[in-house]
Amino acid sequence: MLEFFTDVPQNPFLLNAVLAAVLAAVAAGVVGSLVVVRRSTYLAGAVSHSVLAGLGLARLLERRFGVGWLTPMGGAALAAVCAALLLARSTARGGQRTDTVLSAVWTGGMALGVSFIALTPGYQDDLMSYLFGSVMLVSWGDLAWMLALDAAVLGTVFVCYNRFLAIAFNEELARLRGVDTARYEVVYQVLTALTVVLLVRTVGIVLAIALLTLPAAAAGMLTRRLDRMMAAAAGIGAAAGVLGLALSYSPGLPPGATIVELALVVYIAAAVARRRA
Amino acid sequence: MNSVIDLNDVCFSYGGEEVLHNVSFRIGARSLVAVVGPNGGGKTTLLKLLLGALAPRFGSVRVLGDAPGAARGRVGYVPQSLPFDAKFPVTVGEVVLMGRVGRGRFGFYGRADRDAAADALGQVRLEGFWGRAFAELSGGERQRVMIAQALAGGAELLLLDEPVANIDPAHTARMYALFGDLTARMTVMMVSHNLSVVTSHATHVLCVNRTAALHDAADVAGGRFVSADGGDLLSIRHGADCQVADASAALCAPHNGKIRN
Repeated sequence: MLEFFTDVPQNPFLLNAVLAAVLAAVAAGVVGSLVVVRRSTYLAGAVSHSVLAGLGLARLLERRFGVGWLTPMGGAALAAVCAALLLARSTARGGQRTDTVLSAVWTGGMALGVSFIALTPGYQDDLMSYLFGSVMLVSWGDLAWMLALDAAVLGTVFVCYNRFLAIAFNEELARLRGVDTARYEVVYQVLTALTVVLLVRTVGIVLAIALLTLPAAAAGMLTRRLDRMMAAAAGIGAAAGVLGLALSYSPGLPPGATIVELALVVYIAAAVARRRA
Repeated sequence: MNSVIDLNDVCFSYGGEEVLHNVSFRIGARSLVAVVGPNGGGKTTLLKLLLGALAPRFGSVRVLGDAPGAARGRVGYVPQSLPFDAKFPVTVGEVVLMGRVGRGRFGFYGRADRDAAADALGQVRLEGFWGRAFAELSGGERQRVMIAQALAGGAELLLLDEPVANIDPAHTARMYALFGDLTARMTVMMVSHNLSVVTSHATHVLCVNRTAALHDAADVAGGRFVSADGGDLLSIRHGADCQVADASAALCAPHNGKIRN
């Protein structure tokens, strides 16, 4: 673990990994708190898994057709936002059962992604890095993307905070008070999608829900205000991120998995402390 | 003329059988109206029509002189029970401020909003509760916070769905005293099962079972209403001849706009 901290100043990849973990944790803590109080973690799960379709499509277009403008992050963002809008629309209309639509988006996105990857010539080892993250390979370009997404997510939550809180508390009352709840629902879904894209680089598609929910759930047991819950969740996520990178470094463990395991430890510790109190 | 609520020949169905049929009544300013009737008789549907959350199939609904949707900002609604998550992270002050969340561009709160919310909290006599966690309150306290939310929103008409269900008797008495105070400035309409308390506080009693009949509370106290089985729930004798609990056939007259009153 000490080796990690002495290596950080010399190894730009390590420094980028630390920055990426912190940037992802901030958005995850803020949006994850909303996801947790609204009990919509499975919605985030569906969005995160649909991201594979976007990542796969971007690689396919680049390798097979020489299309360079759609980066993997861009493809991920595109797929996530499409999935989020689809979910917002189908749940708002009430025509379909929500859990059915979630399953369809979840598995449909995975299936498309697998097919795109199979059609892509060359090495197929990308699949694992999509599913479980590749935080050690984060470039400055990725960091710039993440910073922009973070700024967009935080700015939107700041502006919409009172209405998000009112809708999460009781949607019917918020609507009766004149809040256009359908519109805020779309904003919320897109925010969740963008946050998932931020997380895919660090912990990957499969583990993204963990970083979205575990720090927020732990933070929720420590405070009784949503804004403080968001701040605490961001802090817990960032700590788990940096510590997870450090712990996994010397033994060569997958960093994404280690980060999630640490977040899980914090969550269990908070739950136990709460029961004792 | 100056009726706060004016329903004329209103019929409503959720698709099949009519839930409300030929409902007409008028309620004036500064009334305290108790809505009584059996479960499934249409009490909650009636509140939703007044809120504009549902639209009638026939007839007209006017609230504060406007269509229900247009009057929405001036109507405060307190639901029966919140499907409430005991861990939801929110303070009392934040819940009261939500009464004003629809105002302005993004729902930022200013000084006027905070003043109105603090004032509303005082009106329900929970002055010191601003920073308390909503989840830690008792059922009665939560109910009063929800009333404060409606007041903070500038309600001129307050609609409450079973405000004293699940509340201990001491709180219930304070709640009715509060409704009495509020009636000095606004009209309060509440769904209630507890007829004895209702009749001692209300100015009017509205009996709802697929249709509706409005009575002066004085008439009710004078013995026109008799508790049919000695209890004060559901089985209310409507005059001498018909019980609200099984009156649907008798009240389900053809569309004629006339209700026995």
